[in-house]
Amino acid sequence: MPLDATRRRAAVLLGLVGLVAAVEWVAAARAYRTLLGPADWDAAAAALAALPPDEPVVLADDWLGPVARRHLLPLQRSLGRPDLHGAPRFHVLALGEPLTPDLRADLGDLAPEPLGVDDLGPLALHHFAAPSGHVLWDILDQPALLAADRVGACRKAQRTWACKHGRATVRYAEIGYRPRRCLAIDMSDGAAFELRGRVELGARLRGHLGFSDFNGRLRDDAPAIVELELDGVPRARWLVSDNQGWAAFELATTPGPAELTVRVTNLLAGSFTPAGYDPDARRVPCLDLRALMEPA
Amino acid sequence: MTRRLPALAAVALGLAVVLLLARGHRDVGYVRDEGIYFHASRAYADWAVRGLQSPSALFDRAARDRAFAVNHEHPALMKLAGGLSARLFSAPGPEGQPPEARAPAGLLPLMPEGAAMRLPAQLLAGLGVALLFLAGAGLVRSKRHVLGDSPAPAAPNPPRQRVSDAPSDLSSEPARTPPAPDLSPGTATPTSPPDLSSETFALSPLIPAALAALWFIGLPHVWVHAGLHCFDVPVAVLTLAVVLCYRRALASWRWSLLLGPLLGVAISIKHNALFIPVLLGLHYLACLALAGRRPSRGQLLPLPFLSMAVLAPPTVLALWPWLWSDPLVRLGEYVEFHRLHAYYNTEYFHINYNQPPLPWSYPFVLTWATVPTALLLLAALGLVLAVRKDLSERPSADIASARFTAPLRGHPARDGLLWALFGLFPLALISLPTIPIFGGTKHWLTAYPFLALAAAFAYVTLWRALAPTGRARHLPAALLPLLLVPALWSTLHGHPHNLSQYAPLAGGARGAADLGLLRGFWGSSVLPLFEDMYQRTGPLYVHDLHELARLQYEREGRWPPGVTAAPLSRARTGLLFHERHMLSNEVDLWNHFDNSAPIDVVTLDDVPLTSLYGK
Repeated sequence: MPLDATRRRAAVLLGLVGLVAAVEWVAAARAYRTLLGPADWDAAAAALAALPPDEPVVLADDWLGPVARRHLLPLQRSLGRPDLHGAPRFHVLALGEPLTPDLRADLGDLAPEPLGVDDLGPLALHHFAAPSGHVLWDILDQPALLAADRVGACRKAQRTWACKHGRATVRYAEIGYRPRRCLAIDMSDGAAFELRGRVELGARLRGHLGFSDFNGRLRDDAPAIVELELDGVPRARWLVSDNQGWAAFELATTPGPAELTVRVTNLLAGSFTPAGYDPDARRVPCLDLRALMEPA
Repeated sequence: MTRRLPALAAVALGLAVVLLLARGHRDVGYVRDEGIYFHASRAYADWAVRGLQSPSALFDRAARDRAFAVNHEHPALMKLAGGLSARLFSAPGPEGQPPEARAPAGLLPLMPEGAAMRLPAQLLAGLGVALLFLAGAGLVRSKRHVLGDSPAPAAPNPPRQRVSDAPSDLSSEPARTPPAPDLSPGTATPTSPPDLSSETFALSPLIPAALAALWFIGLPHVWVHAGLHCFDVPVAVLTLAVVLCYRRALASWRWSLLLGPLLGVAISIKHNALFIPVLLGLHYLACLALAGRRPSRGQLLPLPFLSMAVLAPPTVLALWPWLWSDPLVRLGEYVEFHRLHAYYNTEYFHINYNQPPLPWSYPFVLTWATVPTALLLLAALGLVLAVRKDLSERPSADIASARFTAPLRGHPARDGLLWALFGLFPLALISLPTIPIFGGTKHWLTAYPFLALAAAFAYVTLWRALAPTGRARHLPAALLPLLLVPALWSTLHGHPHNLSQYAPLAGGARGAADLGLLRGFWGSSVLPLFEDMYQRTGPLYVHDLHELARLQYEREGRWPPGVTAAPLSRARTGLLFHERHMLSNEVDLWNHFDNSAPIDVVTLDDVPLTSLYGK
């Protein structure tokens, strides 16, 4: 019966459209409302206040960052962490899935063990343990190191070393579209920036290098070189390019005191524009380096 | 139902849209591009007013070039209209400011200067809604439509019986000639092609009319663009108007003569319209090919295309005084500017794209993410049904030989092909890997009126095929809100931040943030922060808020007094419009203020759009 078949097909198609529309009503009711009210933020603030101050708390949903930091000041402490190594326990505040791809990347080869979840309404505070040792020292907090470029020593003022060929500053930087707190080494083309000093080593030195910012990365692909020496002996050398993002590197070390030298050489610090090479449009390598103990 | 009712309803709906846009968009901050267009509009209008006072001033090349050099990479028409609208309707700016930083009073000072400049675009949006309403109403004609026909008046009380005129693609019957939609409002020569059935299911023309009109204007991204002093919705409306005119022009020399100038007006709004004649040419060639007969001499040089070729260029020239000197050189510069357009940053699934190629799926996914799926599904069904019908239709054997003034008179209208060409081409174009990365959905808004008509066609066709009886005959009207409410809900809820709004199945703004889709790109969601700024005067880093947009607030007395724009190194507070690539500016704010907790954040459903930072 052609007519009946026609009607049936029309009914099915209209039904399908209507069904999708009905699902959209439900989806609209869920989507078009604010999830997080003042009470939810208060609950999260109380939960975070109860945590040990040396254990990092990170936010799973990056996009929520500005609102979350406004309500939860402890989140500022962990902002721009290099990764989740060096934190035997950490905590994740999340609207949904806690271990997002970004946090998994920060964990690297660490396999976290879930310890529990605090239900805070729309938010949940997830607690994890990770098989990672403590941080012995962090280059960003290490005042005893001396800096130099190839023409001499650099002067340190607050968070900045001023050198003949540029400067290095501890600051936040955008690297791979994520915030990192690191040592931004803004030196002239090919100039090396060197940090030297006696440090206490643990089981390994773990660091990262990345380039800031996205405009510079778009217009300059030259790599930078990171070199580590222990007691005057070259121990490691890495060539890092900007398509590696926040590139991690690691060196196994013997626990105990040692004379450490860290050298970073940025081959080209400017960038290429339609008008040619512009040395003033900067693309800055940013370094982090920490000494980590063996996991307990 | 009389034919006057849809016309009255179309006018009423169009006016309502204009009023709602005019009032509602006072809450929508000025976007980056508007700042430049405001500035250009004032320069253009000054020139025009001087020309009205002393016509010889129009031919002073130096003065003309000085006025139109501002933002000469876009045609002048909308900016000129905006500037003149401000001369008419602008309320005076605050006392005590120098004249160049204060909006002058218009002849009938009804609204802020920026709102007055937005008015012409809003009027065009209202026109677009009215045209869609009328074109949608024409879809219920239950007779075969050929070009040159007019819509027959609907019977006041049509019988409520099962239909037998369903399109062939919904039935397994051999292709009997089905009813075809009428895109064109108004009338021409009345004819009476035979009905397929003496019994016709009655569908109120108001149903597809409302569906087509609200499908378009009810979308959050269309709504937000419709109210701005920009070109994207105006060019979408003019594209629709040109296509409706072309359809008439295929069977009428009068419409042909209008077609060329109308295309000129469309091109004078934005360069998207340069593609219109190409697409119309494809449609025309398809009509000739599908006619299955050798084209007559008149069909080889048709008046509609002659009109576009001859009358559109002088119209463009007349409406764009920048081209009055060195037209070929300046036209060349214009084409080159857009051919070699700078790449913007856009986020797509957590990746920031600022160099080609952008994934080909980008415009299709963004369309899905910003248009409710049921509406898209209906549009897709409409395209399939209408194109299949178009491909199966042949002109009757007894039509007279075509003249060049009416090259397709008596031929099937083949609206489905028109909708498919104009509904899919803008998306296909943006999906090409060599196309510069421009940004968001505004670049293919020209597709939406045609998708809206296809959706309305599908609704009419399917209900006619189903032919409900008894109480069920009210279902088409009753279920219309089921389809439209998700879009309207989205738009109402997203206002005034609809640039960042997403469809329900994408999860709204929160879902889009989870998916890693772009959030906003024009530095406009700033008005709610003015209150904080009143309390924290001093130098402000304005980030992506264009200085000319800021000056516009100042001209109208809306900018917080004591707050001055400053580089970050001197700023006491700083704005940040959140986008993936703007993180580099955000960390600069943290470094400068030694604080990563904003003072206040503008959000849409928890999603940060703009933050105000300070010590």
